[in-house]
Amino acid sequence: MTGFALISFLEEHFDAYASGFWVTVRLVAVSFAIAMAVGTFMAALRVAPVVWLQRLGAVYVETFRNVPLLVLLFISFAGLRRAGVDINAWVAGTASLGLYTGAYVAEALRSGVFSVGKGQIEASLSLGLTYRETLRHVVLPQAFRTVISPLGSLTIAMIKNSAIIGVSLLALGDLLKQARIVSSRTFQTDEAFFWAAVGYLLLTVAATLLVRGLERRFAIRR
Amino acid sequence: MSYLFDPGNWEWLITGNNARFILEGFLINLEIAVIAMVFALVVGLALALLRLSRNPVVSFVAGIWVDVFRNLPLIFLILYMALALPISWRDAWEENVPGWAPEAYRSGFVFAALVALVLYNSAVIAESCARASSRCRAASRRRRARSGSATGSRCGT
Repeated sequence: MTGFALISFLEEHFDAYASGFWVTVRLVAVSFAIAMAVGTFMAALRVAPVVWLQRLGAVYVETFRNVPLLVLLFISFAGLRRAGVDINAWVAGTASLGLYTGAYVAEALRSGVFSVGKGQIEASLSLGLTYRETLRHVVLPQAFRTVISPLGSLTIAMIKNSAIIGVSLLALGDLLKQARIVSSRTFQTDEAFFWAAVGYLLLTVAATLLVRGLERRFAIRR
Repeated sequence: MSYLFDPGNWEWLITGNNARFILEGFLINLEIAVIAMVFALVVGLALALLRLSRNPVVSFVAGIWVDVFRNLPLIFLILYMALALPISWRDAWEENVPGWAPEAYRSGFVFAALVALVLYNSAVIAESCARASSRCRAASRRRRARSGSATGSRCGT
């Protein structure tokens, strides 16, 4: 397996890898949007001053965090179809990945809000700022900064978790699925998986660099 | 939704041996998890030590290894190991698996799963160990610089 053979292998199957890469990127982008929306909403429930809203948020987080993604995919696709809901693979995949990651996002955001000292909130309230102003000028700017790095690692985990969609029964043609197709067509497993690995590393390394840049940009100087 | 609440649809769970099958599968999950955890801890600690080695070549190579396996999807590694592990290795596993091991362990694919789990999780563990250690070193360096003496370090050199 020389370097030249590897490159000509990629040239030969470039279309399959490119389409798989693109599907993975779209899956991650849509799921990220869902995860952020759901995560923010659930984090808001968990810090709400009403006990039963907090419990509702906690139930959501614990449920979706403790069910494996593969099981969620199974329930949301095969299960819902069996129950008579006509759901397509794309919706089931992005919804499962988004709702699953949303639980982690909710936890990250919640701890970000709690990382702002209670004293600061009390101080700003007693200085005469309203609750809304306190949130807007004191809590959220600081919470946002502490939350960048956990959200970044969640995004990277989500890129990796998106591979589960490709091997599940949803059979969306993502990078891993395409690698499997190529490897079963050519019987060159090592080459086929090597280029899929390169694709995943491109995505995760790009995400890592992006997160590192954002962290540096918004670092709190002490 | 009516599907979920119709008791007729749940009869399969109590008829035959279905509940027992699910329970057995769950036990196999647990066993694989425990074995992979033990090996991943040991390998991960070794990788972390290599990563923190004073030899720059060793540290660089270990760093690349850890970053590659940490950033690949676990399911990717499992699939690759299942498809690409030499058949002779799987056969060697199937011949040498002890008699008291659960029946599912007779399959060489369990070996592939364990290898993949250990590769991925040892890299994750190595990364967090190395990061914690370097943070601790930096803190002790700061402490020493402040107090102006070499004493008081709690994490070695």
